Amino acid sequence: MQLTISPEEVQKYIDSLQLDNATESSIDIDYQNAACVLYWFDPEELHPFSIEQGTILHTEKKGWYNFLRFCDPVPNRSSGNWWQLRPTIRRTAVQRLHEKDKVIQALDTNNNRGAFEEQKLYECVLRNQTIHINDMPRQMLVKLSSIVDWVTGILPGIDETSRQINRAIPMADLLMPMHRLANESFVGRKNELVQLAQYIGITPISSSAIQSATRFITQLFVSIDKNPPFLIYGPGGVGKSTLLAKFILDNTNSSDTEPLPFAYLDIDKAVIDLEWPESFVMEAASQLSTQCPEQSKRLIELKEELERHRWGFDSIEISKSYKPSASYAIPNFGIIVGSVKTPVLLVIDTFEEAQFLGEDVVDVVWKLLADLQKAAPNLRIVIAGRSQVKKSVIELHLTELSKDESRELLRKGLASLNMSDSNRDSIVDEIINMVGLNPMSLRLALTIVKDQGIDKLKKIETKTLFFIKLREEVVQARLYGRILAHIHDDEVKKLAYPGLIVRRINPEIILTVLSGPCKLEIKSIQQAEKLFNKLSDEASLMSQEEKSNALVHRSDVRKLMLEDLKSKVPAETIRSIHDLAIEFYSKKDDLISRTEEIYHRLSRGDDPKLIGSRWLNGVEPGLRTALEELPVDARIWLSGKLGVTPDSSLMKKAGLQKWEEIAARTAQRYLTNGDANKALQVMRERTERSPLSPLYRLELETLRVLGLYDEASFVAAEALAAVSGADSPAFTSVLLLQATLVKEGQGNLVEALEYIKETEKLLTDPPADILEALRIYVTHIRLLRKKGEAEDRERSLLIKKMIQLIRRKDDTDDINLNDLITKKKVLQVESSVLSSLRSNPALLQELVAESGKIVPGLLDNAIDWLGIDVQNNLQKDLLAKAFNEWNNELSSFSKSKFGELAERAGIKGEGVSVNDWYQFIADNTGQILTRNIQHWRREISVSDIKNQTINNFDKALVDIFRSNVDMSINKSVY
Amino acid sequence: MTVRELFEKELSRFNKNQLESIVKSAIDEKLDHLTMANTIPKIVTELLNELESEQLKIIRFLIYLREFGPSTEIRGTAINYLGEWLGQPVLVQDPYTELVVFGDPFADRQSFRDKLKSLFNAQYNRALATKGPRYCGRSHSRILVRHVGQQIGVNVVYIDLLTSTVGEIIDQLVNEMQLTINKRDPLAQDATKTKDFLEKFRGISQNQFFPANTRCCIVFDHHDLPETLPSTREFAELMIKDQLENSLRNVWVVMLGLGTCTQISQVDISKMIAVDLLRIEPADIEAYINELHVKKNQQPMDPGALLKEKQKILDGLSLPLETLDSMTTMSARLHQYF
Repeated sequence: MQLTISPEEVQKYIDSLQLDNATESSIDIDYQNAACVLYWFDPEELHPFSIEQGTILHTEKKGWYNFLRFCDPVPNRSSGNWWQLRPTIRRTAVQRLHEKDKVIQALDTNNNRGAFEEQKLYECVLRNQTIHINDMPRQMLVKLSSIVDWVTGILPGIDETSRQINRAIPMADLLMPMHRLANESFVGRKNELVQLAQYIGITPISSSAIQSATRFITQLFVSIDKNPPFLIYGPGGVGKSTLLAKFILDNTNSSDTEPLPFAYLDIDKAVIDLEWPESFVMEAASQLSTQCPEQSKRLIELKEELERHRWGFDSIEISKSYKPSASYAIPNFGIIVGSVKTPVLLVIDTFEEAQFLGEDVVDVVWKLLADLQKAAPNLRIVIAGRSQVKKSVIELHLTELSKDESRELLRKGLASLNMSDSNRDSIVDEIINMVGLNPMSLRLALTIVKDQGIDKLKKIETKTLFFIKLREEVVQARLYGRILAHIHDDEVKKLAYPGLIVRRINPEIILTVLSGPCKLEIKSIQQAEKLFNKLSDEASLMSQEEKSNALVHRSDVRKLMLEDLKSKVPAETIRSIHDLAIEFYSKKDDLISRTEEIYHRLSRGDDPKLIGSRWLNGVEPGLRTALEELPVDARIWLSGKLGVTPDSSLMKKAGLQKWEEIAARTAQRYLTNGDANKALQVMRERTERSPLSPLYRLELETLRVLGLYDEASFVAAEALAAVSGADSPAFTSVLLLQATLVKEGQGNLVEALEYIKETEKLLTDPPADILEALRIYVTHIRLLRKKGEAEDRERSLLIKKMIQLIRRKDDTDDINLNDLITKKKVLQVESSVLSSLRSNPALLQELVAESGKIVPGLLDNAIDWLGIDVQNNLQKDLLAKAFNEWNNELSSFSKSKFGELAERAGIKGEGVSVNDWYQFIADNTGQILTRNIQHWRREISVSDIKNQTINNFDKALVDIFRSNVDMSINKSVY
Repeated sequence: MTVRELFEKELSRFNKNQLESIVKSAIDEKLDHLTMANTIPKIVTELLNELESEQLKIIRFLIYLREFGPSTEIRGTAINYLGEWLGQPVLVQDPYTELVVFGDPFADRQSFRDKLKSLFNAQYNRALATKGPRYCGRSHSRILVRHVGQQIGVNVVYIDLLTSTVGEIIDQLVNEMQLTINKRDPLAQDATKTKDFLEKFRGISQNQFFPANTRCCIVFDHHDLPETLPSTREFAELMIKDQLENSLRNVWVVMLGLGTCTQISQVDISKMIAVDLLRIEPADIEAYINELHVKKNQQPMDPGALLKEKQKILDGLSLPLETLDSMTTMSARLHQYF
């Protein structure tokens, strides 16, 4: 575009507009006065309000013309000229009105303001009326929260409302899933609720006239042995989670009584990681922080500390980031939770997930629970799962409902049907008579009766010839079968049965895999799509898969139906579906396809060894549910692959290599979770080893963790002898590196250097595995540094080799260490290397320790990812001196009296000293210290200070990393 | 996108009535003849065509919005478009180091600038998250993302999790990225809507014909506020998870104010580029004025003068700067140094 008028004309025109955003006319102020008491408004309908004159009537021009400069549009409204005053303008206006006591008058100016909920709420705040937060839906709480922000610090009495909202919103979120489970259709379970209340030491809300003071029975649970957890167990669908939801809602959501703080941890959720049980503590701390205001800050700090620990944990070199289980988290959690004046409920739901992975996982979780109970005697642990646990617990076996409760459930379920009470009662009794009292069976039966009528239900056999009720699972399978049979479309019916041999269905699968064996008249993808759409309408049958638009059967019911199907459908039909499915999936490369291919191969009975070549990382979750369907050999094989520890009888049948694979997983789990002794015990259940056993490396890591260097030295020698004939340089290299670290741990640098030189000889050029090469180089460099200055020349050569591996590929300059030291050249690290180092924190720390002074990119990322971990007074002293030097440099250079750094750190007073900085570090360890260092290193202009000072500060940081590396290698058990 | 297209996009965020009101305030004209049975983007296009045919009108419209536009983005795009009309296009050397973004100050935040650059250069794990206390400038950071996006040709879609539902987020993404996703069930539960959308979105982004002009950076804001709905929080988390696991082509995700995640594992969280933001400190203001001065005069400000200027800016404000009022006032006072 181009102007056809002259620039002078344009300028003249611009000047004539007289736009001045700095001035507000008095009429604008009057409009602001009126608008500030309205949640939102239409500027054309607004009447202004003057503090001096009251309401002003406009005769010339209706509405507020200049509103745009003071307003934001109300978002997400498809129509309506709705605007809101910007928060800061609103606050100024409210302040103005409040000072002159004119708020209510301003409100009365616009009587046409509407009676919508948000405005009513705002008026309650403006009029200082009581607001009942407890009864408020979440979305209104959110709106109230913005309203309160507008007037905080201006109107009296708002702070308390603000505090209440801050608690109420997260509480509403925590309780949302509970409300979904224990809604108005909840019936019965009175005894169970009482048992729970008794265990926790709480007087049920329902018992009237109980005052808050006597609501909680003070009793300390000193150990998990004396006061075992409360276990609710029962089959899926029986109502365990619903019972817990009801209990929690009854005891936390009442405005009349003191609430019971709780943490509800569902193992099924991503936030809980069974391989890292401290995630339980992290999530519990997070949930409790919203309920315990006094403890909130400390709980959040604990959570953040755990997050940081998680980021810095190296799952490959465990010994270097090893800490005995929950060495700091659990005592801290115990102290914080112990300071809550009521019992604190800790619920662990879906415990069968832990049991599924094996006893070792249960052991690790149990140890955590035991430690937690010991640390916090007011903690009440309630576990819910499908089966009993082999631990000391107080059991509550949740079974069927009572007859009366079942009747109540069914009556509520049938309430929407138009029928007389007597008719309804008779149907209710008929259902109970047929399917029994299991809540899941009752709900399935309700679906049939509501959709198809009672007669269809009657046709299902739920009892044997001798009128003995069939197993619950069989009844449920048949009920589900009835729902399947109700499908009107014959093709869809065939697709569902025997189509459920495949676990997922999409149009391609219908056409390629199922159409033949299921005898469907499908010839084209369009026909398949039509059928697929019909199937997707059967909502009770299938649901959409999480990662694709395929449909999947409900896994619990599919399992039941499979048994039934195998006895009714010819074996060749089933085989044919497996064959076609394998052919279909084997042509694809994505994870889902590979998972399904392996599933069908295992189901078909292929040799697991051959299946191994088709394995891909990431298929594990999709195969977990298949485990129970498989024969013994396939089960052992798959267990190893899935990280599931089979029971001991199955383990005994495993061959050596398979046993080693499973034992390695188990031992790694114990080691990761701080139980090195148990890890060693698992590995030593068998003494024989295959030549390339994964247990060698793990055993050496474990022995180093335990400080058993002599024994480790012996194992290393044995392992190296065993591997000598195996022709596996990569494996030999791993063992040699371990042997090096053992010798380093013993302080025998001469032998350590011999080992590392042997390791280095195995490196290819260029190295096949960069990370492994970096590990070798950095270890060698460290050993040479420890040997002293005499080795500096060799060390420089190695540093160059190491830098060659990490620097950007397009940097082909000769490496000159002096240029790097003096910062004449700043070396950039290749981004793919950096990103790999992110998941190898121990290696990153070692690299920083040896080369952080010349490769700032490594130091920057290590600070971000690992943080500055100041572990002892020597390190504090070192850092304090570095801070002080930096600050002195800044204050001598410029503006700030005490130094910019001291100003930022909040250190005041004349003569800031090393001691002040020492105290600052002591008060701000962990994330706060790291954040400050990150921030200051980047924000304080480099041009302000000498390079030397920056170098010195960075050197101090590198020295801290260095001493942490030394401690990680030379340590024994803490 | 051209400067005009970016301006159009910002104007299209208003509904018809709000747009009418803006036009009336800016040029005292009505839109009646344009609003009949048209969609907002079409109305905006026609409106601009009309205004451009009378040059002084478009200039007046742009100047008005530059001064009084109801968002930073509308003011910023108006500045750029006006610059083109006046033959003074806004020149950007390195978008990451800009001190004044969309006419607003962008002080402090070197770490954010560095990491934003890493994000847009990353091959994998193209997700960035900021964390920090309230009023540390998390939301303000969005303007740098938008600015950089405009300069490097990435469509930035800003989603405020606090004020949106899952349905609204999906609508916004579909509209702003011009996605062809037809089958949407408005009655489905939020979790289903999320799953359904992300599945389709994954399919689209992995399509090798995914057009380059849909290079997109999705910015989620307010994940960490308790007021934000869990379902919208989960949507954002699952979008990030998808990006981390599947490296969606031509897509970047930024989370301003990352809170506690329920859908992303710790391992995945650790893959994100993380930026810890601190509240702005008086020393940052001082450094910022100095940087502006250096940019204008090629030399640092005299220390004594600098101290005086800093005191002027902070005069009467409650320190440390941790309220909305003080941040807004401070920001307004900084305008005089541009």
